Amino acid sequence: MQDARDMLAEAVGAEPASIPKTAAIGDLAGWDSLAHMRLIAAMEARLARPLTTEEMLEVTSLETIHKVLSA
Amino acid sequence: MRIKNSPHILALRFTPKEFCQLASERFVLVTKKPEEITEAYLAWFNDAEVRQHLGLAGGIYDLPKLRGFAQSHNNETSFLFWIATQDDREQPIGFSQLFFTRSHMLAQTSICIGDKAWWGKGVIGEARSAVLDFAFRKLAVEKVFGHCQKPNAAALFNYRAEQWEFECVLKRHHKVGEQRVDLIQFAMFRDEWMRRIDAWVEAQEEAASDGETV
Repeated sequence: MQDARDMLAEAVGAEPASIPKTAAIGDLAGWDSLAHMRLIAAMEARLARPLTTEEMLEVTSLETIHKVLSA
Repeated sequence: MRIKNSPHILALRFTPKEFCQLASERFVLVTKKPEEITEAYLAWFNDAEVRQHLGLAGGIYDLPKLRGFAQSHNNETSFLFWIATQDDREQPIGFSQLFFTRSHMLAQTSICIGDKAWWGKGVIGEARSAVLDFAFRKLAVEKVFGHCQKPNAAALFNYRAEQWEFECVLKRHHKVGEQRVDLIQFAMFRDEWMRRIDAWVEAQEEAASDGETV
């Protein structure tokens, strides 16, 4: 989960410790469309492949970021 | 003219088949006659980064072609809203389209913010909400759908942030360069839209009775 938290924090320009476990689109400051582009790019770089459409649809929260990275 | 109790449209001027203007908090969305389209409208229209996931066919646009694009919308069943800030109405920063099929009370919408200085500033949420409010409450549309191409993470984010309902994936439906990409379809229904409006009205009334400003 820390991996996902670090990645999301980097994307939104926040400290990882400030990202709550329940962080999701719509309730995390700084998680805007540009941050989302940075997040997806970081996830794809980590996975060394493009996300599938289903994975792109799934990325809506810290929890689902972790889930996609762990798959 | 106002739409009563709208958090999205502060002013509305609409003459079917002729003209439509919506004003949101920061922006105006207005249809234009072809002769009103100027070179300023081309500022970002041919930017490859802006166009890459737009699904807008036709290659490079010059002024006559852009005017033809504007002319192809009839302000009755098809609308092309140019989005500009309240402070600089002659320099559009993007556009939104709305296509209305009356037999099904169904509409399709798309939106593009071409001025990159406005990316990440909540323009799409605000502008598209004005278009949706117009569609649902002025045209009485019952369902609006929209698409985004799979690589377009920003567009996907906006649909999620605005809480559209995911409908389906159209596999390898569009072509971007030589690559086929999935197209993702989202929908918004009138009853859900009205539920949100009702919730906003209720919050306003509660705040007013409590002496607060929402």
